[in-house]
Amino acid sequence: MNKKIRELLYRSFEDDLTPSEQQRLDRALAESEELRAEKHRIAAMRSMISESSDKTFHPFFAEKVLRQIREQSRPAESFFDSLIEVFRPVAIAVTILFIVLLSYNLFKSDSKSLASAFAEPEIKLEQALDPTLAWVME
Amino acid sequence: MTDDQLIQASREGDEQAFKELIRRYESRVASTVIGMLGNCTEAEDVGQETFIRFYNNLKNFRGDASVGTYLTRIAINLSLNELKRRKRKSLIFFRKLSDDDFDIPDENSNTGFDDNKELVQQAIQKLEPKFRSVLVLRLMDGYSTAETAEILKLPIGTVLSRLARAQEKLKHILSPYLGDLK
Repeated sequence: MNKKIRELLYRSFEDDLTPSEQQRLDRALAESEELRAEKHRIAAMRSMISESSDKTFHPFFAEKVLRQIREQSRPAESFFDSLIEVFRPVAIAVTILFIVLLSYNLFKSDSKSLASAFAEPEIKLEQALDPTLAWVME
Repeated sequence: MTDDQLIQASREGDEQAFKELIRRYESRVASTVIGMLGNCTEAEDVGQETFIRFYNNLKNFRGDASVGTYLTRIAINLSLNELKRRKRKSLIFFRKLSDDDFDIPDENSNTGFDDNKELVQQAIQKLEPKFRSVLVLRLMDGYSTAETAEILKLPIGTVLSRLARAQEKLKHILSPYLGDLK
């Protein structure tokens, strides 16, 4: 089949032919049985295609879209907000434990000082300094 | 209510108005997306994304094109992106898409399709995206060649030649099933 005629045949379905092109195609169709059969096949295929389209998604499509829109319009949590959310209970537990330990140390110790709260031995300034210095001072 | 009234109400936060727009245009978006991607989970995801993009761009929608055309343009672009993603995925896994991926059974097989609809949908999936998009818009969605050209931002001549080639290819794929028409 002539390539030009084939092109005209396809374009004829789009109502896109000039009068002279239409005349040429009509002449070719009148002369060729194969071309007439081809036209029939193309028409049948086009009809099959237009009838084959699916026109619906699954049920509740609109509701699903709206749910997603609602979710996206919620303010996004920042990374630090998420961290705070996760570590807040841990921080509270550690603080309580810390206060309990300080109270316990103070209760056990004779002197009520910061050092005793942290269960540190009470040392004098000289003891804290270098032992050699302590010896020189003596 | 008209589309313009529904859009105005949606801009003002009326959820029911936007729901009505979804109901009105679901079938058109479904036809485009399912035509492009086949009836699969991704098709529904792309359909949802189409309406979400529309919602996010309501403020910019000036009404130059009709709502249907605007939605179809979003749907076709998202579908083409999805097809690119699929292609990239198949390249990553060193897997070339072949005819077997679409499983069109031979004409004598009993494990074939219950109806022509499924058969045609599978055959369309065998076309390259540039041919598929023209075919879907023109023959499945029923847009004119001029509208198809406008949606795809192509010259009409290109649309016509791609449409002819798409039909040639599809006719070749479907030829065993068009037997009774020969």
